Amino acid sequence: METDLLWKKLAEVFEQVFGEPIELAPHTTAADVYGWDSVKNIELMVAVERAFKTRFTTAEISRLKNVGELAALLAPRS
Amino acid sequence: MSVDDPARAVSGVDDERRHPRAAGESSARAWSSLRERIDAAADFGHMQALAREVRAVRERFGAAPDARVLRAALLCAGSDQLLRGPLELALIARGFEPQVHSAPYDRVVPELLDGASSTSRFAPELAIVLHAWQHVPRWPEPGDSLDRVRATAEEVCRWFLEPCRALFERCGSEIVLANFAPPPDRPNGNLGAKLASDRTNFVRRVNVMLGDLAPDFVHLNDVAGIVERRGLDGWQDLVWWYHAKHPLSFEALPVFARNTAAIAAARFGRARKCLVLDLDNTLWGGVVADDGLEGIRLGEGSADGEAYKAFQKYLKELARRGVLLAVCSKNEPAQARLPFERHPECALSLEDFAAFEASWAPKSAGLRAIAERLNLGLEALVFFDDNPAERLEVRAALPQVAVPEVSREPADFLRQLDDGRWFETVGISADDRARAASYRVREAAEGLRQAARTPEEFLRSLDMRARIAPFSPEDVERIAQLTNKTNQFNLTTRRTTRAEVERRAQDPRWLTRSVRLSDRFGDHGLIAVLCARIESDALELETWLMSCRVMERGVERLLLNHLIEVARALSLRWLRGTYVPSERNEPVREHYARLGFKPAQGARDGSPAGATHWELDVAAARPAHVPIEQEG
Repeated sequence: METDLLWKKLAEVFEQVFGEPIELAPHTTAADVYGWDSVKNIELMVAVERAFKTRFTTAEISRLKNVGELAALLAPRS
Repeated sequence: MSVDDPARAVSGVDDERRHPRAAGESSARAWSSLRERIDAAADFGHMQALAREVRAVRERFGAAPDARVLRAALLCAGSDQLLRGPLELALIARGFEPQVHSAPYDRVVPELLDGASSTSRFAPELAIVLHAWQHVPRWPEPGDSLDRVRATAEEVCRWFLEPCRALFERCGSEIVLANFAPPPDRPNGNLGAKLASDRTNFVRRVNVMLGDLAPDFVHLNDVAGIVERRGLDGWQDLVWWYHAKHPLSFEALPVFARNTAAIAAARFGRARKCLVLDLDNTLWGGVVADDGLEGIRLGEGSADGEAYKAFQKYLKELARRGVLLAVCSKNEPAQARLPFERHPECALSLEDFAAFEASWAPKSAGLRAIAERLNLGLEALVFFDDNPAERLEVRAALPQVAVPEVSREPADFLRQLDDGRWFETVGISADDRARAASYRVREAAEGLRQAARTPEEFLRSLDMRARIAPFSPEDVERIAQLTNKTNQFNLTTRRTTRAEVERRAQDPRWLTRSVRLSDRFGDHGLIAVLCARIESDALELETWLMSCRVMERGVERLLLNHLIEVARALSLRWLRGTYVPSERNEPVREHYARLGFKPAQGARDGSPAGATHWELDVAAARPAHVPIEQEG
């Protein structure tokens, strides 16, 4: 999948989970987004897994630092 | 306005300002539509989206008008962060306004045991407890004998049940305790099914034993049953268990939440009571008026005929444990009755139905007539009809009635009805088993009433016999059930637990009375409950309720005569009573006035809004003649 398309799809998932559009950049972290707590994080991960028809491993989820790393993880799989 | 779209219901602001009644209706519609979608939500994500809508509807309309506050504690193995939201929603869908206390992370057993814990201080009405198989404290050792394994299973059960008892005895809280889904792995393979020490086998044993050992105040949340139906693979997502100790998968969360809420509904009188059924293509294949008795498909001889018969047998099981069945069919009455009278494969008979509506009126009118005849509120009804147009009409006209979706495949009917968990119950009393018969008898009595020239003559013709007695141990179950289910003839709508009922029965400061009634048609069982505090100069009537089956039979006068006698024997001057209005008890607003009580002076401290207080001077009271013979 092309990078633009991937980010667009990611933005759709974020909007669905947070109930409003979220501005995303590679360096965006949970601290930058209002309401992104540990519960939202799980909801988000499961929603991303579904949207991209993939499954993260336990270790991958633990290592993620920001949205850029999430996109990098998804790029080769989509 | 679209019934299925609360967002549009929310936007109808101007209409509501001009028509307050319309506001009440759109509030009821918005809540009923939300409740339906909560019942259908497939996973946590859907539940989260619905939580946002609940907030919007609440802001717009306030809480649902018929909601009952429920104080519930959630005690969850691992993290309850994901479970709490769906649980609150599922409780809302069952007509509660939940106030949920979350116990601290991973402290289920200490919270239950410790009198100073946050859960004990919260003193919930209901404690919802979810353990996971990871928290089973002991497992059998390989090679343990069967007896040894049984002893271990019993020890494990007590380890989970005893803390429940501690909370119950301290706070009177009843407990909804989940039994166990087995571990996902089978290291012993198929041999495990023969090995007593195998973990999966052990969990099965523990689940059965939990059912045997659970006391009345523990209601089992049958997680094992759900997993049997849905499969273990989707129940727990181990990735999220390892990450954050979330005990349930995204798909399992709403299922568990709804199952829990159904038990709460049963316990607090919010379960449905009557299933209203269509006939053609619902109870048999084909249309009896067109196809004739021989042409309809029912029983052996056709595949879907077998499915319809299986569905009928399932319905018969429901009726046996006290669910009322009724028919609402667009048909000529004689045609509609024909299969029940003459079809050899019909599992249901006319005696199984408490009400039978066959006419050409809209189904919503039929449902209203059934509710009225059975003296039930519309919120006690579930409507099951294969025709989507009829379902739509009923949903639009009567948002209080539950209308499950029905597929075109009769083989699916029983599951679709079963999955709704509409008719959950926390215990089956002998009265439940005789319920349909008792409602049929009411219909026969109605015939007598119409034949009688005066109300007095009608009552005399019933040959009623009553027995008034203090609460007895064998009636505790039924009494607690009545205090929790009776809505209409209930002066104070005070709900009580079994434990409270037992305590009062033994407390000399309380006068407790139950009334059993029988008449020429049979035994109605225990139909009235009364609790009064014995004060220095008065009997203070704290609970007075009666089953709606025996309204207008003179039982309240009989009880009053009895109370006057008791008060005189105890040298008490007054009978005092209170009426506390609820959503449903309007019919007894003037109960005390009708019995000759006078309004008492002044409001009392802590008395609920709108409550009225009444008193009767025992010295001046004259017992009225009541055509009921008293026994015992």
